[in-house]
Amino acid sequence: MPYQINIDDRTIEADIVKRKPLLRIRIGDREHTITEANCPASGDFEIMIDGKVYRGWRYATAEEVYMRINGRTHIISVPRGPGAGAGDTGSADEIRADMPGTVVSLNCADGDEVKSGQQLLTVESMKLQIGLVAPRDGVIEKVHFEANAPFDRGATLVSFVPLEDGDK
Amino acid sequence: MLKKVLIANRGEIACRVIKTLKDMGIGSVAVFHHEDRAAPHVQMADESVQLTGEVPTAAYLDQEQIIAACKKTGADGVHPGYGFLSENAGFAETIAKAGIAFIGPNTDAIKLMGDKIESREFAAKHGIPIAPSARQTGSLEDFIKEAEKIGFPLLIKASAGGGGKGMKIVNKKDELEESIRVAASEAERYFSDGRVYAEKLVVEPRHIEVQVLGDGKGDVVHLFERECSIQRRYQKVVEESPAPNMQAKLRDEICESAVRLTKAANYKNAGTVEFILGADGKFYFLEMNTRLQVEHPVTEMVVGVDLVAEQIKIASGMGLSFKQSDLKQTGHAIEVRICAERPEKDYQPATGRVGVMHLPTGEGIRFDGGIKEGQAVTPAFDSMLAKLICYGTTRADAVSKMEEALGDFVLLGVPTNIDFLGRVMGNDVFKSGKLHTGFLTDHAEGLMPPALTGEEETAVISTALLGDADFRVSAFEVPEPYASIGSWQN
Amino acid sequence: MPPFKSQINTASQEFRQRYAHNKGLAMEFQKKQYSARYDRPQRDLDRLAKHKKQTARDRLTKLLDPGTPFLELCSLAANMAYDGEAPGASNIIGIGIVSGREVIIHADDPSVKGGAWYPHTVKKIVRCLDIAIENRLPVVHLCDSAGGQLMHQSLLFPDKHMAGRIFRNQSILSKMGVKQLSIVLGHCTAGGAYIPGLSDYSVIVRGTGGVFLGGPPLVKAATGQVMTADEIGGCDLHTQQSGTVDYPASNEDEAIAIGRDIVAQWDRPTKTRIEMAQPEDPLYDPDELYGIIPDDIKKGFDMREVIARIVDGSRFHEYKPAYGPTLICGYAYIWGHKVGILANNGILFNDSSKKGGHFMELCNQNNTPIVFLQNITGYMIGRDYEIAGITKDGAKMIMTQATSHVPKFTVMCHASFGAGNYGMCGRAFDGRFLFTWPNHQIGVMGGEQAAGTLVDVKRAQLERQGKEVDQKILDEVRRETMEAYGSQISAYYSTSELWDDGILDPVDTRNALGIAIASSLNAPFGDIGNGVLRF
Repeated sequence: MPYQINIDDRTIEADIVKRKPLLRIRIGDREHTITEANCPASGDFEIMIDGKVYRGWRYATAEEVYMRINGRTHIISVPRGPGAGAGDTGSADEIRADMPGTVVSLNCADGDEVKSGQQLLTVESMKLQIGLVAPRDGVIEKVHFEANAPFDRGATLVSFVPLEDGDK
Repeated sequence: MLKKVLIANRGEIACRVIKTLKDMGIGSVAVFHHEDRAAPHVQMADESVQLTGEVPTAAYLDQEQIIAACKKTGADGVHPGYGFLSENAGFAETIAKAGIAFIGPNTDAIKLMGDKIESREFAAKHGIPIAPSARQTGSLEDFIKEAEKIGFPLLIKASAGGGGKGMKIVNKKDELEESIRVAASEAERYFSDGRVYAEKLVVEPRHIEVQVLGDGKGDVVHLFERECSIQRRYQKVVEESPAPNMQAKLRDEICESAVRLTKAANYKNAGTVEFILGADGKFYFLEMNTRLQVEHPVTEMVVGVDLVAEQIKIASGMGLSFKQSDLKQTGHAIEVRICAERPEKDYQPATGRVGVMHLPTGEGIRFDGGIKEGQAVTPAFDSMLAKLICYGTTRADAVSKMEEALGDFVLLGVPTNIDFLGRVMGNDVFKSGKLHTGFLTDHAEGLMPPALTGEEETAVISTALLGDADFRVSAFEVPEPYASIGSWQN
Repeated sequence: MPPFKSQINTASQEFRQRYAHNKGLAMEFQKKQYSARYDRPQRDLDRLAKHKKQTARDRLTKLLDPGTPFLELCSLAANMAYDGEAPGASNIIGIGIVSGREVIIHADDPSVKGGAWYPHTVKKIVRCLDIAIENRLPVVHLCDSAGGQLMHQSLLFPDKHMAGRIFRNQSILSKMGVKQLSIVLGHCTAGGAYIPGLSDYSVIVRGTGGVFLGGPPLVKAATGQVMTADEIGGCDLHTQQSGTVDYPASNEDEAIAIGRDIVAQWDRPTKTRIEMAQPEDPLYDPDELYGIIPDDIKKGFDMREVIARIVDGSRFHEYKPAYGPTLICGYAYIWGHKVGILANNGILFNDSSKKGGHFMELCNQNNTPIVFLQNITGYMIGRDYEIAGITKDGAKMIMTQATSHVPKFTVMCHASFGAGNYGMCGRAFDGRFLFTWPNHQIGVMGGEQAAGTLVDVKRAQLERQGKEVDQKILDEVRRETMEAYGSQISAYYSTSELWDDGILDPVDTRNALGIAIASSLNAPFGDIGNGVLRF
């Protein structure tokens, strides 16, 4: 899977073509040879591309890379490579109870459209109150318990309208 | 002379004040919210006191805590900087009552100039030109009739407002009533004061302001004008002194008006009188700011005066250290405000972290900043991070120096307007000095970042990849002979 | 080590004739391989697309590090079985790089009968896992199989090396500390469920992935319950409730990305140290191999010319060059790895057999892997040679070869007939890898020899029975034998039956061996056991 790089609202693909004797990368539909690279994640860098030396500064945050090259700052998304930091491990259609407990309060109702991370209900188990949040954007199909209702471990508390093919 | 001054502010202005205090051998006390605990102003000051608050800005606005901090550290003066409590008459009064010197004007002047309507009337009374205007005294119908007399286009503003909130431009008569209603309701919402007034709208206006100093006993000098016409969302981004292409006669008139107003107010300490200047050479009083301005450094560089030092001397009861005839403008200075924002996305404020910073240096380059590497840029405070000021013998000299300095300025980790400002400096119309407050809107398209060349794109993407740990593993840690064989398949 | 001086005249009529012949064979092979990889009925491809599934090849490309090689093994398995309806035996196996780590991949091919397991499929997966065990290669399974082909169950289920062996091997791998990852992209039914079940790590795609001992039809038959595959053993059930699978993924790309991240967590093995050198390309173009290999099975050729087009810098240190010249022995480097090479340059005699045995002992003493280049029609026969002990000397060679502790690699270059196959590390001798060239033939003896032998036996039989020797009967025997040999001695039959790890275009031999040798070094060598005997 090639690296996907977002720059100026465009997505450009980049990939390694070969590694020896010199690193060769493809950017879009063109290939380039990288002959020298002293390029830390953050700090000043020096890299030689197709025989020409570029120097500047680089700084990486979790989401973006900032670069200062030839008196101009560029901010692009961190290159997401094949497998690098794949964080979205899927999203369930149901929120189940990890422990038996009772519903303390409800913040959603059947049919509500909710955003990922939005708190849907608060439950209490073993004297501990826990806020349960939406695992993904979606529509609530059913809230299975009322406030103050007890539930068992593994009970489905909230179910989402399943995603249609093509939503994902 | 004051012995120890507490700076009731943060960021670049706190650092700026501390620097002068150090030069003068006066002790300095910084105050800070937890979020600023490692900020440069805290490190620079001799002492520091932590303030608490629900939100960070609330801490810096908490008068009781600030007075307690003065008592605790034995500070005998308070410098309010700009923003926060700098134009809060109540604060100035409380400070004074506590026996601490407020480094700023007396309470009456703050109150007078703090009210847009009163200050205009005061100016008019003393012969300072004000834009034809009308204010609502009775019914809305009467006000509409009064406003009509000003002629169009006109501007509706909130009496208690500023920063463009509640402001409406009215081009035709039939838009008037609706605009007034909307402006009034906005004013009510923002300032809990629904009063509005109407004034003549000057087309392609320039923002000219005059720096003044008064000793509170009637002695007032001006330190010439500044031009602050390069604005976005009614906020200044580029300021300079002197104003380009300004005839000496007009300059004298404007400065003289400012001094007349200041004297009439029996003004003490530093202040700025702001005017609107039309293309016809007519100028109108806008307002007076009873504090040190963000853009004061351009005056300092051109006139050769440390304004903070003068403020402290005045607050210490020492009077002015020079006469008007001692002052003259030499050369040209430009200041740009470095802000955490995305100019290409309608100046949307941005947050992040000052990850890598590399400052431009050289003769005539001044950096007023309160930031350092590693510092977080949060939405808690204003988006202005620092100011860069360049001095040259001529305006062209100062502009090209600024363009170069911005090119050398590295600040990575938060989006900034550095490159945008660089493009402003390179703009031909800007270079010609034909400025007005609509400049950035008129030239918005030409000031957008140019598209990347193929070579730039290659350099950017290569650098992004080569500095990425995952990419490096993939590029350099494939075992042999696989790396040498490359993309072969049987 | 000096470079070898080639005697080949590439402008000669003979060279051009052989080149045309062998290039033709290579192209025929490439065509068959392409077809086995990509030619599928449109409805099977449509069905994949409808289920938002990718082809096994596309999945593989995404799994592998960009710009790295992939050595596919057994690409033409089952090409002569089941009327050709199971190309590649409905899966892909091969060695490649995932997240910088050397792994062997087993990918079910859902475009072939839904990835159903035929007897040859099982044999291929078992071979894949044998390779993993022998070379300690971590395994990535891309699971998507409809399950075993029930009509062939007797040929894939009960015996020692049939389906159960897959799960036995998986268990052994885990115990050895060789990691396995299963990415469940389709169904893993019945026994197939144990592939993720016995993997150390597993990922499953929501919606299309399923793991269950009994699928919907079986559940309905057994319990009357009507349930979807997802309800019986889908992503959320296994990642949230049963814990059978570790990581949920919302689509195939994400599953592969997670899989790559999992592999990136694995420790990298310390490889067995052998002599290494900086790799250099051969001095002579490997393309010339086509003009060196004869256009007739009966014609001989100088195997040194082949060596010169496979080894680094065409450098070859020939051992004992004046003794037993029909077996060439010597040292060389392949992609920087030092190897000992045994290559046939004629029939094996007493001296060449003893030389070969002795040289293999030296390789064992020197921790040098051995490469066998086979072109052998057998050990010499006849009374004089028996008196000289040809059987005894052949036995020495076979035993030294069979008990070698260094990894062994075999390339079937032209002919492999009779006991020579044993001495030169045929399939039975647990070489780490065995590859075949398209021109190669294999059998107890050559087709014509076999026909001649069987005709002689028939004639003797008729004579003993006092019957008339009818030439028609003899001709029929000859014809039948030749026909049977004709197809069964071919490289395609050999590879169809998984008697090798795949056919190689001769020009790919160097890269294939480079990867094979590099893989083999993941496993430690054994002990030499004895001193070098001068046979």
